[in-house]
Amino acid sequence: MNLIDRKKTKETAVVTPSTLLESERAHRSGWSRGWGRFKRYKPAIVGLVFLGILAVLAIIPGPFAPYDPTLATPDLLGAPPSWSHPLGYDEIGRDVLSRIVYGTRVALIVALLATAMAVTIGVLVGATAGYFGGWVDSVLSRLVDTIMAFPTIALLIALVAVVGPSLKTTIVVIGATVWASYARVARGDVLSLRERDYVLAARAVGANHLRIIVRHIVPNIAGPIIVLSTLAVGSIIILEAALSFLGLGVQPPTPDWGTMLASSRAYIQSYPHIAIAPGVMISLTVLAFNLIGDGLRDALDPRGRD
Amino acid sequence: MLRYVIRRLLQGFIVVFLISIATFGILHLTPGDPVLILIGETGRTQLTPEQIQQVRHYWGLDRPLYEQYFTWLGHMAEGNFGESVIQVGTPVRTIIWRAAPVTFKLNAMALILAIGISIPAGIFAGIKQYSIFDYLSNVGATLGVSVPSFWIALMAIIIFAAKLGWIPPYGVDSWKGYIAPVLVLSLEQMAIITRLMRSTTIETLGQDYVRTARAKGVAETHVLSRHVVRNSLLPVITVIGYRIAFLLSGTIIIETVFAVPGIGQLFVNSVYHLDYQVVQAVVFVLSVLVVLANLATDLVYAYIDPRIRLT
Repeated sequence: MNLIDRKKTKETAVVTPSTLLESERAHRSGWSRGWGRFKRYKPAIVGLVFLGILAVLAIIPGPFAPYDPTLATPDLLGAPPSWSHPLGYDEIGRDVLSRIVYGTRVALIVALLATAMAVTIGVLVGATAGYFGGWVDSVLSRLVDTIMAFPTIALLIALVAVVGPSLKTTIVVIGATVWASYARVARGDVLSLRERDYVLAARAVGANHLRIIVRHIVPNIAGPIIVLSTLAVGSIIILEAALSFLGLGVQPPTPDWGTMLASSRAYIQSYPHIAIAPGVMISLTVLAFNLIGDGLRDALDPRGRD
Repeated sequence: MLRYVIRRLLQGFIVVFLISIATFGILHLTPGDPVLILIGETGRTQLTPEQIQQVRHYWGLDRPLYEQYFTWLGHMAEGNFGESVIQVGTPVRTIIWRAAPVTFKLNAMALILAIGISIPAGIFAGIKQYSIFDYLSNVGATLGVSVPSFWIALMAIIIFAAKLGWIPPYGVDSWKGYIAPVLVLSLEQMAIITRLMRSTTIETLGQDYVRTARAKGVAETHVLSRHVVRNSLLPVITVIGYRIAFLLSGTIIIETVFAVPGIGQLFVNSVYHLDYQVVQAVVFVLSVLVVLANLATDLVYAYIDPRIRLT
């Protein structure tokens, strides 16, 4: 008990002015308390800073890329790193560093849009299944089971093979495939909320299903869903890179980390340096999202800690 | 128990049925004429309309959709899978059976390795929470889920095959060829199972029955082996069953990188060569395998833990 009190006073001493009344402190929102807990997990802050850098590179790559990412110098193909080209040249003589910088944009666009799509579909389907139960739940749950039975990569590849690879296809196909696991989580969360008193109360005063789901259910599963989405971004970046690595994702000459790895493969004996930087960038980006996700879990989703 | 088994079997059956529709639909229900997908870019420019019509007839694409579906489903149920589009005359079944043993060996070894390392590591990290070992296994697990496996595979080829020459850069002609694919394939599973094993161990350690056992004066080794490990293993068993889908997902890429002549490489090559008969068959077989693995896991779990059957 004593320990908890001490923690509390220490926390408030840092973030609130001394004039704040006890009653006001009690009104500090869950989000603000969550931020306090998030800040304490240092790796998540490191992840956040790295993500900030990536965001800047993605929005304005120009000033940070020393050269044109598509300009090829045929005389210098596969040239190793040097002072003017810190990561060297790729297999057709383009500056690797510039391509890495421009690749940030593609990675973040695909990851964020596909995640947004997957989480939106997943939460809507899962919340509907969990809220209504009965046959609605049975139908939607079998649908989710079916999609989850496919090895993700196999399903993605098969879909891309039919639709034809492009940046847009990559986003849509990933979003349309990976939502199922988020639906399963959302369903479980909603199932446990459905019988809560405030839901009964809302129903008693005549709120319709849509209003109950949107105003009462979804805000209460927001914490776990945010955590889930953050961790989802990481795994979606890997999926996108895997697709591009197989030549079925983002198409050349668009600078993309997975595509860079794909084209480095044939030259791995002669120019191994081309294969290093894209992999490091993918790993660091995924790591950043995973660390932020872990921090958010500590902050927002008390039951999911491991 | 019987009611649970029947319900679970029925669910599995429905899912397999839905999988068959989805797999069939990938080629037939997506916008565009399936025959144009079958003949590919070159066919579209070189074949005359009559020839295209012949192709359409040969593959039965001129018949009603439901008829095509039931014919296809009949083939799948017989394990026949039809005929390859590219290697004309070769049954898809032969192609798949030729590739299956390698994939089975690779995945079985990877799973055994992952379980063999991650379960003891996870238990130890959980028991010695906040120790150096716990910290290191945590860092390892975080990296394991963040670093893409195909990049680790590339780095392994650069370092151990190209520079040091310890392993062949591709193929599985000797046992040495298996080392890198098995290791890389098991890494992600290892990371996930270690994390889960650690957290269930920590959770079990906080249970009342563990405190009771300790209070009774039961020896700590006995508490750990009889109470903690046994109970923490339960949820991990289910997860291992569900990891099969992810393992098979990984094998597709790893086999491609290391040129392992298994189902995964066959699948990717069939996609490149637009051999849709093989693509459909592989997707169908892999997902039915996943359903069976999940079903088996659930039944084993229900058998071990009576609490599951009641829900």
